[in-house]
Amino acid sequence: MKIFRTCLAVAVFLTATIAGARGTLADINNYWSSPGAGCVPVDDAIQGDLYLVAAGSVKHDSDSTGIVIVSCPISRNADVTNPTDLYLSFADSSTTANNYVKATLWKKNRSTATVTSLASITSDSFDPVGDTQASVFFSHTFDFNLNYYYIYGEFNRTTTSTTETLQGVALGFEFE
Amino acid sequence: MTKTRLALAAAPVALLVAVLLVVTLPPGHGHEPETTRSVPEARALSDSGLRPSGLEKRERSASRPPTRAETRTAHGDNDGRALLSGNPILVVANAGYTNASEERESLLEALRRSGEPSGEWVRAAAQRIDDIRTFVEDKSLGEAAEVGCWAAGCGVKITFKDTHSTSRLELLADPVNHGAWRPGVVITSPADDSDGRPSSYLFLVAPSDPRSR
Repeated sequence: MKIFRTCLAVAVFLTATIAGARGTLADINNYWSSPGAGCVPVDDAIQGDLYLVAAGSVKHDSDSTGIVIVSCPISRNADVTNPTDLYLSFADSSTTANNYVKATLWKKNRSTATVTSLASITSDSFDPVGDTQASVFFSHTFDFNLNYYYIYGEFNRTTTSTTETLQGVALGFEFE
Repeated sequence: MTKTRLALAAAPVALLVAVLLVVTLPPGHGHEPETTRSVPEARALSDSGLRPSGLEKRERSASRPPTRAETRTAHGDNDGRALLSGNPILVVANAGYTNASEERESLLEALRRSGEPSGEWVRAAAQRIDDIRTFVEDKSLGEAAEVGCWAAGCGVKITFKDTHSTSRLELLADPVNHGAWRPGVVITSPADDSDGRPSSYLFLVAPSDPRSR
């Protein structure tokens, strides 16, 4: 009888463990993410002392204006299914079109270096807001054997009175 | 002794039942997020081209990323249809070429053999090409010359004045912030022409629905 109880307990434990794991995996919708500060600024932004890193985000230095570009390398995530959404976390206090935060997903052929844009999202599609997140749907089957993937983050302001902050970028997919 | 045998016999059965239970459980069982909308409903939000009217920041659970319904979805026209792999330019770009010059020639051939252009996107492409030409001239990067427009899209050849000028290729996709070219942009890596100047070809991919843009 003792052996039977032991086996039953093991079976119940296995059931709970495996079922729990399945549930957890099904809930994951993040493929990859990076805070703005995790991206690499281009040389113009560095040499011009244009940007500031603050709490994981990147934004203009207090007295700077102009375009700041950062490049965010995307790593493969074998545990999660192919992503379909590009997320952009940002703050954009301006209504002016030339004040924006933008993210574009690119793929780069590993052999030929040809680049192809896959999706893009910009804060100018929205009214001025504080910190928020937006997403855009895209369709592409990621192939890390053939391509590199990266996000080109870009933010611009024309006056120091506005705030344009790149909080972060992510790839994921919706719950199903 | 009999009980022991019974227990030994029952153990595999119990394990089998456990495995069957796991296999028949639907994915995410017991973890369905309360605020999740069905995918068709969420896609419909995107397809409408409208974004949710309320732009207020929504409170979210810190334990998981937001769903599409919880985020403000941008660009209803970019719902994935634009990047259908059937476009000849994208077919070449996705083919995994290992030789840059062969890929470049294949891209140009795919463009030129795709037929006559039609639809509202052609005018938008002409505007975008003007943007690129202006940007290249204003920044003194070199010069941009239109290759032409066909059914698969439009091509532009950008000849740079030097190698340093090629460092911001991605900016050429939307040089004056008129918005991303939704169906996609393909830019070949700069290669030296016979005169030693580097040049790239930029392709504006035609939308899958020619009426768009």
